[in-house]
Amino acid sequence: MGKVRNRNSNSSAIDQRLTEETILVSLEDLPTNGEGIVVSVEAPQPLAHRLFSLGLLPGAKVKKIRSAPLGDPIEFQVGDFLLALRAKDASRVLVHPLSDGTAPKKVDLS
Amino acid sequence: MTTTETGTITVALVGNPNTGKSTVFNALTGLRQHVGNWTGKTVEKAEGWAKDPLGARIRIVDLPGTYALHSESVEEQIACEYLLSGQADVVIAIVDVTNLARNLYLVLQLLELTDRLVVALNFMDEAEAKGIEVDADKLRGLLGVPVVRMVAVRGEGVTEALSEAVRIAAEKSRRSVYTPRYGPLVETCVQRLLPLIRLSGNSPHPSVSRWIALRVLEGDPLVTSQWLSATDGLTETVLECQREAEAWGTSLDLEIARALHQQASSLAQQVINQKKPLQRDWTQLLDSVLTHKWLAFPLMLSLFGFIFWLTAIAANKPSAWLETAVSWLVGTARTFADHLGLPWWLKGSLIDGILLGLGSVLAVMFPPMLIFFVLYALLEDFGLVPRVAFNLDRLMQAVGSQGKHCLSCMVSYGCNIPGVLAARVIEDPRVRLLAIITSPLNPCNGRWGNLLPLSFLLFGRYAPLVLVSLIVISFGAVLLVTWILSKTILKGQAPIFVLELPPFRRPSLRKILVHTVIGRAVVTQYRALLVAAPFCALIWLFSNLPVGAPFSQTVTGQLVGALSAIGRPFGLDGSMLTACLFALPAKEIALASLAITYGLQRNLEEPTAIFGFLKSHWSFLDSFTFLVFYTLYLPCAYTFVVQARESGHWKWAVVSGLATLLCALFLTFLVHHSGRALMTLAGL
Repeated sequence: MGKVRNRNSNSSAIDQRLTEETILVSLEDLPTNGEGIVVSVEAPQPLAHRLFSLGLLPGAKVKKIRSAPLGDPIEFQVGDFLLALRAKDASRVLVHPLSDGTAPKKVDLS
Repeated sequence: MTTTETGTITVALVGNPNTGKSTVFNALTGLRQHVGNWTGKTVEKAEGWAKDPLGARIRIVDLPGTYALHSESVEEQIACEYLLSGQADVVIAIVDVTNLARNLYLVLQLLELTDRLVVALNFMDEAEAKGIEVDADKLRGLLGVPVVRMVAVRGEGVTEALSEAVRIAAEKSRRSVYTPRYGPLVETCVQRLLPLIRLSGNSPHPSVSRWIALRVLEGDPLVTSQWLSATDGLTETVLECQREAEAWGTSLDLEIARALHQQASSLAQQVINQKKPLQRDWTQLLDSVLTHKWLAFPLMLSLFGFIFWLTAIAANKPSAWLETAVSWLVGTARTFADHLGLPWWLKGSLIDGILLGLGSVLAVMFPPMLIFFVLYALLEDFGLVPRVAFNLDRLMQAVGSQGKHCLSCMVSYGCNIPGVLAARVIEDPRVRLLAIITSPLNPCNGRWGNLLPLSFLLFGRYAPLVLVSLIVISFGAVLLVTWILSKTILKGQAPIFVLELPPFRRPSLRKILVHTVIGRAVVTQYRALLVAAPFCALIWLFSNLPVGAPFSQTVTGQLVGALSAIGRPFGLDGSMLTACLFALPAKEIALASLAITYGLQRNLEEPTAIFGFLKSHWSFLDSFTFLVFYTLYLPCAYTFVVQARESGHWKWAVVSGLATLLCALFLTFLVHHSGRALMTLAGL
């Protein structure tokens, strides 16, 4: 417990990042109303388990709704419900940003 | 799982938070409820009795709301342990049908544990309004267990769910129910673990060994701690399995959760027919106002101000009626005692001590508490409370706590005891302790009952300003004590903060009336009176012994003299401190205690002379100094008892006593001396 384990679980997605040069961002860095598909959750066990049981795991679609009045925590929509996470915890969830809600945005870095 | 020897069926209610579980519980049991402690745990459990159509008694156990059968929080642990213990013959899973996929996740975990399950699809009316159609029969076919449609607030489907539960409890044969399947990696690991678990000393029921294997693979803290040491070779095998998963670039807990979620969503998709596209309803609109960058805090403050105002206004009349009733009762009792020829000391301590003392506590405390809790329950049911936690989390984070700490503070404004109980929603044990310890710093209705008249008496038209500054000071005290504790004896990691913001819902008045009025206000009041009774007798004896002595010679008078030296550096006199001491059993009696400690009267009768006396006797600074001290000092006797019970150890109640007392003294000192310095500067 407490130890951070690497949860780069969706290995194909990671490979995709390396090969197709898709930019991954953390949930925290999503723009307001921006959507993304979760790629990995790199959090210590109690947090990771809580997120998993709420359905926030690789493959889930997440939308950033708004930040609290003091900037933290941040409200997200996961599936059909609303969930508040702290920025620090949200930064541990990496997502593929979706530009128009359909396909992952691919950026050419060359 | 088998029916208990007595033949009584036990039904456990399980569900996600905010699925209307307690509404179902109340609808099933009515007033046949009782609240006790879980054995070995410090959390209360709700148990009640229902009658099946044939008139047999059925035990209903309301388990804490949980998203999954993990044991990451106390509440989840309780739900888990209870289900594992096999005490429940049937489980009714209350499901929020507007959020079916996530709720089915828990249902699937339950199916791994038991085949005696009834699924109740609650909020069918909301689903219809949102254009969601659910095929309950199809779901029944897929899961292999009864599925019932429900609108719990209207009582629809509640008896149906119970009859289904009774029916399947009586079935002899095992039902063939949906068994969640996992990927080859997880299934291989489970197969490796099963023989070890079956051979271990704990020897579980075969149907739960698979569940235990899955939890061990997940690294669930509770199950792991129970099974790793008790089972030979388990630790090594689990480590091997985890390494294997790592080699595949994944982890077992993720694979288990993923498989379960996929099956839950696929089941949900098969039975749900979305007629019109899901539109963002008024929850979104309201949220954008309530959590708005600039509007949120002014709105929250004015809402709470309004609740306090409404409570104070509405409680006036009933309080006065109760006072009249109490004085009539006391008068009658006095005549009766004279008639019986009771000795003066017995008559005095029973009637002028206990009866009068408890009567005035009841008159001052009960009406505002009742009104406050009904108003608070309305907001709670509506869904406002999580928004407050959301807005304030950043502030609480800065002092080493989290947003849910504020929920306990909010309830504490009504009464500290439910405030301490409200700390249960906090998963992190350290933050839960912080909330329990700091709860008495929030002025409760008992204190408001004295702060309001005192402020208006002593400060006239500046009273609202004084009251607002007292709220600010008390919240500052919560932040200060939390910060100091989390830097010293309650050090720890930043707590997890995962908060669901449920949709706004229309409050259920019936639930509030039964649950809040009976469950919260009446029970709290009754227990507080029980604790206060012996103290009231003591106060009377202190103020009247030795017999016929002048005030300064009585025990109370001598206490006043002894405490005056201690109070002086803080700007408090001996009478103020003695009155605060007397008000420890119940803070409601502070004003009456002041009347005693200033030698104006010898019992806790509703004081009238004290108002004129204080107005001429106390300066503005004296008054404010006293109000600050009175707002913050020490938990009342029954809060102390509940703090000890809820935290699991007396020492935390003592820590709370010390922390609140020191904080009160420090802030009183600060207020008194900066006030004096200001007055010198102003040439007063």
